[in-house]
Amino acid sequence: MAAESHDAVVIGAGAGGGAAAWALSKAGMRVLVLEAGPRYDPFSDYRLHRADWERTGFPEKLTSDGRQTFAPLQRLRPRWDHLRTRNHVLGAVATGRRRAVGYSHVVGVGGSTLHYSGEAHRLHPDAFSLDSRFGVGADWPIGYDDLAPFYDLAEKLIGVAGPDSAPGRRRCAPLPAHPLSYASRRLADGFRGAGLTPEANSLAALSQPYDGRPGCNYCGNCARGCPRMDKGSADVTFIRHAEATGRCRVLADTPVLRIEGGPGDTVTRVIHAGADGARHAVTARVVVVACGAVETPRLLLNSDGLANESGLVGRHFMETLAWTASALHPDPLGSHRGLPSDLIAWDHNTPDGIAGVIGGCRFSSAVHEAGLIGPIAYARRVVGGWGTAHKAAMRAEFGRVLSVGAIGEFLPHPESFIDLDPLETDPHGLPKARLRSYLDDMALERLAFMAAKSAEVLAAAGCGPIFETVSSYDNFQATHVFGTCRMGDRPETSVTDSFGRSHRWRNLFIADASLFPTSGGGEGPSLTIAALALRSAGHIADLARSGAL
Amino acid sequence: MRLSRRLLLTALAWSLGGLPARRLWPRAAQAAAPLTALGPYLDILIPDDGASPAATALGVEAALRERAGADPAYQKLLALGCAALDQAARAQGADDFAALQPGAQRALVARLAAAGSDTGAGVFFARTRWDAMDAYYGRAESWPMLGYDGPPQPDGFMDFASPPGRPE
Repeated sequence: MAAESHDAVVIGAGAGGGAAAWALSKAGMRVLVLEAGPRYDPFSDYRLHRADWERTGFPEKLTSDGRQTFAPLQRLRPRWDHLRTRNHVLGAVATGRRRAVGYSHVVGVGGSTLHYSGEAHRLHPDAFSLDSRFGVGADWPIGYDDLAPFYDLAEKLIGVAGPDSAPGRRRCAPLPAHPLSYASRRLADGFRGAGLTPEANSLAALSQPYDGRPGCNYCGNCARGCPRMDKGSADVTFIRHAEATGRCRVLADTPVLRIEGGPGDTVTRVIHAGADGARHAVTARVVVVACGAVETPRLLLNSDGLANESGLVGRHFMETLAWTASALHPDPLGSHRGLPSDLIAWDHNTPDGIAGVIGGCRFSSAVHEAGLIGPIAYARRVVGGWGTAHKAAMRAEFGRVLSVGAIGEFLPHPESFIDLDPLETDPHGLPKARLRSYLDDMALERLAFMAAKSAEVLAAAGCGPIFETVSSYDNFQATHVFGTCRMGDRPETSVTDSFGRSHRWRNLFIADASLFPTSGGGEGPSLTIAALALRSAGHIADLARSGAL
Repeated sequence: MRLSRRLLLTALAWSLGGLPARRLWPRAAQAAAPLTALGPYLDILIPDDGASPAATALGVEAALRERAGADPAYQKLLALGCAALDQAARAQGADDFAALQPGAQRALVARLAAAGSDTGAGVFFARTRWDAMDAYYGRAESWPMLGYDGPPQPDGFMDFASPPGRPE
């Protein structure tokens, strides 16, 4: 097959691929973006205007169900029963003897940012040196100061709204922080009562018109897709501006099947499936892989182990350590209104922020993340019973739920990795990714701290008993995934250098969370993914200009 | 971290096709039966309380029947549950569940609600409650009584920073 030629091919149009595509096209390169999933039209594909808005989540055109497999996860132990996922109406939610499995990431132009809540966090400076300072995980080959200018750039382009500073981190959020919702102001009392310092979260949702997009109208449903484009998902920010340069072309519904290496340690061709069902080849001076921490290693392993000279492609998989607790407040709050995660506390975010464990966490308002913002959720999960008593309780309780969410550090572990399933293949005959993930006792101690502090917050806010907990302990969580193509200085212990460049393949770069040597103490990763991609793209452009690529 | 729909469905903890019918249901209830009890049952589950309509008025029975039409296991669950309700009603001297007085109907539904999760009755109650709440509260007509002024778009909730208002 004849190959179409470009300066750069970017595989994946999420936070990393979008940022890379924008920066490369801005630098004058002709960029082709290949995205396995479809495009979503904000004005016609999302359903938040419909009466049945609550009956579906994000309206996926291409299901993410079944795209990956799992090896059996660890057995659950009675010692940790207090960390189970439970609901007072439904009972114990994961009923097997092992952690429940399930993986859901929206696939499309915009990637996971299509259904994210828009948290826009910078990693704490201490997160970059876990090994040298605390003897766990791995050090990043860069520090916070190396990434700071690219955080600035990403925040400006996305339109991040947030406070001026956070512990240990300076900010450059271009827009003022959002006001807290009425419900979150009450929750903030609980944060303070539990010894935490609440503040407005940094969010990729516009607090005023910006970049031709309107300000947010606080519908609370970022996870179901934003029909107004006020949420800064990658499709309406990086990709939109990349295409506007006239030098970036995005092919949706175009899965990449393999990448071929050739002489001189140079990647030569990218093979993708076309709409006609045939295989097509493209060539480029540089290939940037940005499929995420599960699909990037899968693509490389399915490409005859490309870039896997270290044997580490797929290793050091990190999932999300998360806990959510929900309770009823005695007063009407209208808690379904406002932005998801509008309130946050960073007091325990540093690697030494929790006594007795390494790896910190953060706490935030979470009623939207918990999905407890509509009549159906209240009827099914909040209000027990039936009949006239149920209706009376619905009237009394609707809008009164407060939820606290906590996300913590997930350290690399030898039993957490991605490989290729030996039996199951995708529609193109390629092995699916098989996931293994393990929570060791330190992770569970961290989770126990998160659970206890969340309960303390809700009690201090004046809430009644907790009626629902959602936990990583018994329920694998794919909200944020990391680590499977770790960056580092040494080819023996990493897959790429600090610019995401394969140690061997001189024109192959990675630009997603698979680069992360550590997960951070609960920070949302999308801003860091974008910042890393911008830094890498700048380096690629420099190499291209110098003739090194 | 969202409580995903997948996880919530597994929370019911029972596969519709996974439990042998003869273990769960009285022998007489296993025969296929018309779903004449379904509407009256749903109107006990979600009644007209004077401020909001009953389930069947908002299409809940039709929604469950439509689901049953596409899912043989669900059809079987509804048939067995309705047959059990009719059988219990006949034991009280009524022709069927629909012919019972509302108080007696409520008593039978209360027995379903109290049934163990490893029984057919418990499975039937939990699953129909789950689906009925979805069908009922997914209708805008059910919202005014809650003070819910959705859907979320196109207006959003610009009063998010204020105490919630409620209709008179």
